Amino acid sequence: MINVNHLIRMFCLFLFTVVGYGFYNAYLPITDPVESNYVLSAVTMLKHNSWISPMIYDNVWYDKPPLTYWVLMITYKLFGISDFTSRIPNTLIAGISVSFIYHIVYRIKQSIPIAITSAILLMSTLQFWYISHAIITDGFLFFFSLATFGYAYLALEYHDRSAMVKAYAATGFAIITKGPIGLLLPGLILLLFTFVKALQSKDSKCKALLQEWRILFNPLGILVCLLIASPWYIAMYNMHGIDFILGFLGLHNVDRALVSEHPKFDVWYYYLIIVPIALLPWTPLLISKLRKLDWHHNFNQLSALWFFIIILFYSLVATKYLTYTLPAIIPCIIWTGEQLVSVLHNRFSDCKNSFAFIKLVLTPYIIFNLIFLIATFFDSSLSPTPLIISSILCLGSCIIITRRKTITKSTIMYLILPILCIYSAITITVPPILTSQSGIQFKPYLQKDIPTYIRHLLYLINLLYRHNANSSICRYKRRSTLD
Amino acid sequence: MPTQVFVDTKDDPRWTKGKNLMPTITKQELLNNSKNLNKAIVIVPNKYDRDFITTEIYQQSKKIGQTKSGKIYQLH
Repeated sequence: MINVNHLIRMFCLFLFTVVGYGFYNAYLPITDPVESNYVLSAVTMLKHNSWISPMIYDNVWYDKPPLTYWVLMITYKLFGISDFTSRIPNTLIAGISVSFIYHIVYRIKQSIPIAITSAILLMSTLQFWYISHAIITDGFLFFFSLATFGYAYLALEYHDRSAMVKAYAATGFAIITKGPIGLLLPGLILLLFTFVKALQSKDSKCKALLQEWRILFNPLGILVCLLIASPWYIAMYNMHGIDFILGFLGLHNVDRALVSEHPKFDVWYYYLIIVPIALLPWTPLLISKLRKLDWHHNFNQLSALWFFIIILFYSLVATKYLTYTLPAIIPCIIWTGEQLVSVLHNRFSDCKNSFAFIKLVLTPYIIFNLIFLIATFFDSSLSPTPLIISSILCLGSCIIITRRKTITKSTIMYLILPILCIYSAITITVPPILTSQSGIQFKPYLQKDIPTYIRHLLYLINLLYRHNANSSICRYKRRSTLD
Repeated sequence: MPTQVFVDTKDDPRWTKGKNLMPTITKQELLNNSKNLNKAIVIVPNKYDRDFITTEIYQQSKKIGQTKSGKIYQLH
C-alpha cells in the first residue's frame, strides 16, 4: 500500500520536473533531422488518419514502432500542432520517470533520502535533461527500461511474481516504443543475472537456477507482454507483409546494427567518451562510489550487468547515437544517489569530511556551469547573460552550503535550485543554435505553391545530419500554409 | 512539398534509400527542368555554395536571402 506522503513526494517531483523542463520549450524550434522526422511523421499520420502504419512524406515508413507517434498525435489532437506541444510528451514522460525512480528506489533501498536524491540526480543529469527536451523515442524507452529494471530486481530478489508481471508489461511497452531491442537487452541481462545468482547459491546450483527461472519466465507476465506488444506487429504484417519484415526488422534493426549510418562515429570507444559526459555533473561522485562498491550484493551485481551489457552491446553495434545508452545510466543514478546521501551525511556529521563534499559535489557543479558559460563566448549568436546569472547563483549557493553546520531540507534546495537555474539558463541560451539546425530559418522564404529545392543536405554542424535533414522545412511550410 | 536535390554522396545506398524519404531529384534532373521551374526556391547549404555557383541554374537565379546555414536563391 502506497501512503499519502509517498504519493505527495512523487507528485512534487513530477511537478518540479515538468515545470523545470517545460520552461521556455515554446522557444525551442524543431531541429533536423531526428526531431523533425518524428513531428512530420505524426502530422502525416494524422493527415491520413493512419494510426497503425507510421508515415512520412505521404509514404509508409518502417523506421520505428508507433508509441512515440501515437503520443504526439494525441497531443496534436488535444492541443494543436506547435513547437511547444511537440515537446509536451517528452516533458511529461521525464516527470513520470523522475517520480517513478523515487518510487522504485524507495522500494529497492527502503530509504527516502536515497530515493529522493536519486530522483533529483536523474532530473539534473545532462543526458537525461537533453533527451527529455528532444522529440525522440528515448525518453519513453528510458521510463519503460527503468520499470523493467526495478520490478525485475524486486521480483527476483523477493520472489515477487506480481512485480515480474509489471516488468513484463513495461517490456511490452518498450517493444512498441523502440522495437525488439526493448526485450532483447533486458532479457539477456536478467537471464545472465539468474545464472550469477544461481552460481552463488549454497544449495544445488541447478535447483537454484530453476527457482530463479520460475520467477523470471512468469507465464502471466509473458502473456501481458504479448498482449501489449504483439497487436501492432501483427496488424503491420497483415497490412504490409514482407515489406514490413524487411523494412522494419531488416533495414531498421538488423542492418542498422551491422552497417553504420555514420561511419565516422563507428569507433569502439564512442560510448566510453559519451557516458562520463552524459552523467555530468555527477560523474566524479559516481566514480567515488564505484571504488568502494560491495560487488557481492545482488543489486550491485544486476546493476553492473545492466550497465556493462548495454554499453558493450551498443559498442558492438555499427550505428552509434549518443542517445542509445540512456537506459545504462539507471544503476549509475541510484549508485550516485547513495553516494551523495553518504557524502552529505559525512559532511554534516564530521567537518573533516568537508573536503570530499567540496571535491565530489561542489567543484564539478561549478565546473559544469563554467563549461557552458565559456562555450557562449565562442559563438557570437549566444548571449552569456543567463549563464553569468546562473554562475553567480551557483557560487552563492555553494558558499552557503559550505558554511552550514547541519543538513536540512533547505540544504537540498540550495543544491537543486542552482541546478535548475543552470539548465534554465542553457535553455534560454540555445535557441540560436537550434534555429541554425532547423528549417524554421528558411520559413520567411517558403511560399505557398512555389516549389522549394534543397541542394543536397544541410549537414549543419557536421554531426549526425543525414540526407533527410530537412523534414522540418516541410513542417514549417505546412504550418505556414495552414495559417 | 520541398524536394531534395542529390549531389554526390559516399553514404551507404541502403541508408540513402531507407532513411531518405523526402522527394528527391538528381542534380541533372534539376538542371534539365530549370527552365520550367518559374520562381522556384533553391536552398543551398554553405557547404555546397561553391559548387552551386558553377552551375547553369545559378545563372538563372537571384539570391534572395541568407541564413547562418545557407543561401536562398529564387529562379527567374
